[in-house]
Amino acid sequence: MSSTIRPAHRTLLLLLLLLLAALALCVCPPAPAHAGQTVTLKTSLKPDRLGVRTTIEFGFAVHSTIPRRAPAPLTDVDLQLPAGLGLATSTLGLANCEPAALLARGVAGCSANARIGFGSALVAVPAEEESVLEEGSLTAFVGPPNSEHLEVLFYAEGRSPVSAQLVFGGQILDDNAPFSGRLNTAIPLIPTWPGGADVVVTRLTSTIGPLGLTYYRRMGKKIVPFHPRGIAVPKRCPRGGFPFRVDITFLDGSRAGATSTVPCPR
Amino acid sequence: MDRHRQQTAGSRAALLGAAAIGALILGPGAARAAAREVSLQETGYLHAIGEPGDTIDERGHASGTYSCSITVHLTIISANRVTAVFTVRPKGGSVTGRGLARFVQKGADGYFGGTIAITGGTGGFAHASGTNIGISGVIDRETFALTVHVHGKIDL
Repeated sequence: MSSTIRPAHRTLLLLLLLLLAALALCVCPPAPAHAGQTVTLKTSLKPDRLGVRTTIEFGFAVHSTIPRRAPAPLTDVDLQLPAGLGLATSTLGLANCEPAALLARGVAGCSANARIGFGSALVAVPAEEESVLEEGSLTAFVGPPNSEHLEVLFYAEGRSPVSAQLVFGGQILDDNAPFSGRLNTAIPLIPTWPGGADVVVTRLTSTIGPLGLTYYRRMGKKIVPFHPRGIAVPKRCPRGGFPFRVDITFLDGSRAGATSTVPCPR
Repeated sequence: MDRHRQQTAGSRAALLGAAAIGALILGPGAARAAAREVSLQETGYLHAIGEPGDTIDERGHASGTYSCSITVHLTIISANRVTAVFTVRPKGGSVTGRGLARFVQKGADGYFGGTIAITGGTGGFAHASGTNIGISGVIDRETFALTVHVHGKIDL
């Protein structure tokens, strides 16, 4: 039952295949050059003194390896935090924030005592010619209590050109030396319009710490403002400073990472 | 066959009796061979000493099986894990142990739970031993006031 092809037919078949290949080349759009992303990370401590409680400032930026093209949408951001710095002995997040309340009422939907930081995000809205950029504010809260890990909620709000609000969550997970933990955040896809491209987060900066935050407590009949206790900085600096690392996963399946070290204070 | 079993059981009882008498006569050295198991149920109330950083030193009082002073040294080793070294000082000696616990932050409180093992003792507790002793508790994140429960069995 084995099939055989005569030489004349074989030549015809070969010509047909070549024709199909040529047609395919004419009809199909050119395959895009393999796009990739690079990431940069900046970190600092404020104040930057050993043995003094502090606020962590971090910011990452994503760049496409193809000029004038927006990077692929982010799906996961993993920020590793150095050993010795932790939220556990701070008083950040004395209350918990529910995502539903945040979505319904914005930052007013959650207790001020649930805030643990704030910052901004720059997003690119892909368009025909060139991406449209939009900057929005970012507020970080401690999320609902979880039996396993500390939940962090980010509330992002953009005003112009598009008014939009977004809530996305992360978890603080265990990590190994030289890190003490990592903030693993899933970034939801943000469609521009049905069937349209997704919005891309190209830059995100945030604090984690008491800088600029005011908490409130009830003392008798009065509500008294206070500053939450910051993140403990060890009295001795680890060799080489305090290392941070960010690893980002993109919708196209690629990954990119960057490291940043806060040098030992002099 | 039954008689043989009875004789063996009788011999065993005689041996245990002799050992017990020997322990009484010979003192603590022999008592070590006949360690007794104590069911431990302690609750401690502690407060922080000094400024907590990535370690927290706590001191206080425990009650339950023993009424004694207690110190706990907590080291935060990662986002959700702490090591605990504790020393209790019941009448006649002290017992020291260490262990690992999970730590979870919920609002103004931090909860921890894990197991500890006894690593040493002094005085009448010089030969204290025990592993897999449960430890759990809650720490007030503002004041660092600590309530700790210890439950398990120790051999003395």
